[in-house]
Amino acid sequence: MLVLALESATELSAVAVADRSGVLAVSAPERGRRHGESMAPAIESVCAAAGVTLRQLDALVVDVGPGLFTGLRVGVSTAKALGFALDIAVVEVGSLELLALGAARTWAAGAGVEPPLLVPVVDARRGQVFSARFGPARPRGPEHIERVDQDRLFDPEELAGELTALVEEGCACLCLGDGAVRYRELLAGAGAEIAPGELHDPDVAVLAGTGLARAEAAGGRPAAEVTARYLRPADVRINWEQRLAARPARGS
Amino acid sequence: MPTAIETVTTSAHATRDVGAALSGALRPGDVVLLVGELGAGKTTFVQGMAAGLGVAEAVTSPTFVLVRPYRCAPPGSARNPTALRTLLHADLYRLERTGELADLALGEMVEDEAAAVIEWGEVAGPVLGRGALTVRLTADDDLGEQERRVGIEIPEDRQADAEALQSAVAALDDVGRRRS
Repeated sequence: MLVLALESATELSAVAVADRSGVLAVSAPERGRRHGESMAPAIESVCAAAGVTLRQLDALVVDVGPGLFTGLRVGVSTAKALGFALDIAVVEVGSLELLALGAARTWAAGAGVEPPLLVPVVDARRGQVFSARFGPARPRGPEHIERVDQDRLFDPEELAGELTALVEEGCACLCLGDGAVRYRELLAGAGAEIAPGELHDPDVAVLAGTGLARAEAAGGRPAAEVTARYLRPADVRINWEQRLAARPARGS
Repeated sequence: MPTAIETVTTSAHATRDVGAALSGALRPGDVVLLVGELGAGKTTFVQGMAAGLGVAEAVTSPTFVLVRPYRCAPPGSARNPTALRTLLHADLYRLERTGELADLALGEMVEDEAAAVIEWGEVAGPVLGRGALTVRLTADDDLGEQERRVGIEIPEDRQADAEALQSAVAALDDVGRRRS
């Protein structure tokens, strides 16, 4: 099983090729919002470095967000295009679970200490964040973590309020992600711990490893069904006709 | 409570001047929601904003392209007193669903030393409304044909900008006839 993993949900983008033995090649992470320019050349260079061709791939793995719209579009559309062209499945991994999976690896080896609740926080821009919670898997599963609640869009103050309540109940919370960095003071003020630097970025190697395991266990999805998780307020039909009742027709 | 500035303009030219005055108060990352019926003068107002930022290109309705970027004069120059490099002009009139707003990525685009002005902005309110400025243009039966009521709402944490804008608007000709 050989997979190509595409990460572009936040300002950091990277790609990696992995098989059962581990990561074969990983691109230098790019920071910024030029994912559209950097991703295709990065795929070419990791494949060359790993000594594989696209035709040898068995599955694609992509971070489907939530995160930056501009970044997600690049990763998801690239995964879909390659999935169609190569006729292989795509494994979707969420950005928040990916951050939690990265952090969980560090505690998986440790023993004796009760692991904290993992609270990945991704900057949603315009003063909002995406967040979810993950606890240790019981019984221990291959991914070490278990989702506690769904991905949601928060005002940072609202998230801080929920964390304060959890901390007061005696639950240790570890915040990670670019949203945790941006709202560090607010979240630390709520009593949450802020993770060390290396855990704030999604790790494309973790993405590749997780995707590979999931592809082997359950397969992926057909490219046509893969979508970015924008996680924005309810998508409703705009009733222009009603809005413009007794007004001139559209376009006049 | 946001600060509200209310005025009545007596000509399209005056509406344009208020737009230019507003642009002087803008900062990178700002989103201006423009609310008003067809013919209320939304595009005219945007033309004024563009003039206030030293945009050289002609501003037209972006209806068919959804978002059009305009390059401002160099930031901090005589023609553009702000820190903006780009004015993004969006028109949501072609959108069928509010979910399509996400595809415009306006919240991210304004991070690049830009501000966005959005026609039919009330549709975007629930998505982009946090910290946004709102401009309401109204043509009323109790106003003359060329007159428009212009209401500008500025977030409460922008008091200094609101005061500067209020004096700038008050200094304009053909505007400032205030109505309650």
